[in-house]
Amino acid sequence: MKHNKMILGMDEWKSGIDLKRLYQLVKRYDWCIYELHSTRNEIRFFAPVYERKQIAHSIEDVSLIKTTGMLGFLFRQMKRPARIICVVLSTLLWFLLSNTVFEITMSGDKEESKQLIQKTLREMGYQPPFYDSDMEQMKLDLKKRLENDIAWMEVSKNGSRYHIQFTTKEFATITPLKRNQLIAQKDGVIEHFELQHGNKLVAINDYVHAGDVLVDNLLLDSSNKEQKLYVKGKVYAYTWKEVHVEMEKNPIAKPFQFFQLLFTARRAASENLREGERIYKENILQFKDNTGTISMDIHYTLLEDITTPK
Amino acid sequence: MLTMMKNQLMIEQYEELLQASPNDIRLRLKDMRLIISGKDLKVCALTRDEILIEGTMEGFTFDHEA
Repeated sequence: MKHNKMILGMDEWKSGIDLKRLYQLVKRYDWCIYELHSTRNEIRFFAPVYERKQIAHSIEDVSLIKTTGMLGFLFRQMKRPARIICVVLSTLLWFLLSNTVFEITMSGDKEESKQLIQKTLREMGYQPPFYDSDMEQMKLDLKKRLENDIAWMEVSKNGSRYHIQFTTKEFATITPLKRNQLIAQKDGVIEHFELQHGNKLVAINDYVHAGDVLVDNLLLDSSNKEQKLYVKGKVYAYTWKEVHVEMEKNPIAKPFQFFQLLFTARRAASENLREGERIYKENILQFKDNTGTISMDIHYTLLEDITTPK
Repeated sequence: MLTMMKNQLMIEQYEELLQASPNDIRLRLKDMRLIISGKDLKVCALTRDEILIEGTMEGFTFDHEA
């Protein structure tokens, strides 16, 4: 206990008072004094700082030597205005900087949403650096403003930085159903159907010509009456394409030239392919070496949706 | 009441501190005087009811005549 008080801070006093008199004062005022050293002429002792006023008033020739501990350090610092100003300024600076946001970082699924959030923050007045007043309120306001565009958002603070995580709202695109027939755009052999609605008029492995109706919008019911149907889907078929490619002879080895031509041909064959379409088979018909040029003819079997025009 | 520790002596309910020097400390208790003799004796803490003495204590004298 005494040790703690010493660390906290105590006044060291000296006085020429008689020990008996000091003891009477201790009894009267209920003081608590420590480290009492009594010599013939003077008494030295420590007492808590809060007893300072009473001691100074009650003992006639008492004088304060020093204040120990943290309180003593504090009192000594308070006598130097420059230090006080420094401490106050440092505290203010620390408070200011720790409550200032210098950067807002974002992570999410779409660049467009990121730009939208940045724009909204600018409109709301959150342009770094800004004073960090209420992050939760900012989050709520931002969520409210972007409720139609952002599905989920979380704002976290990391030091002097806000980090915003988000996911964009996805909207299902509803395409209205139509009753248009699916008509073959080119010749081919039916490979498979991806149909949601409609009446198939051809079967897998049927050879169809351009202009043939593949999926109809009419269906006969049990009483032989025509019922109108929606038509939606794709019909995939094997189609054929012949590609001719040529290039000038060059000093590189013949197999490399062969592959160069092959890849050029593949590129040409697949340039119009869409999602789900691919090269099914590749047959090299001819690899010719004329004077100065080499050429290649390749026959491709493609798997294509033949109902959707390109 | 006297409580003795390694090199400390706590005295409760004492009446008066009569003398304090490094070689002896004199106290008045309720119905006697206590003289503590030793080396480097000092009063570590002094309150209205308690006194804590520290140092090398060599002898205790109880004087009932006082």
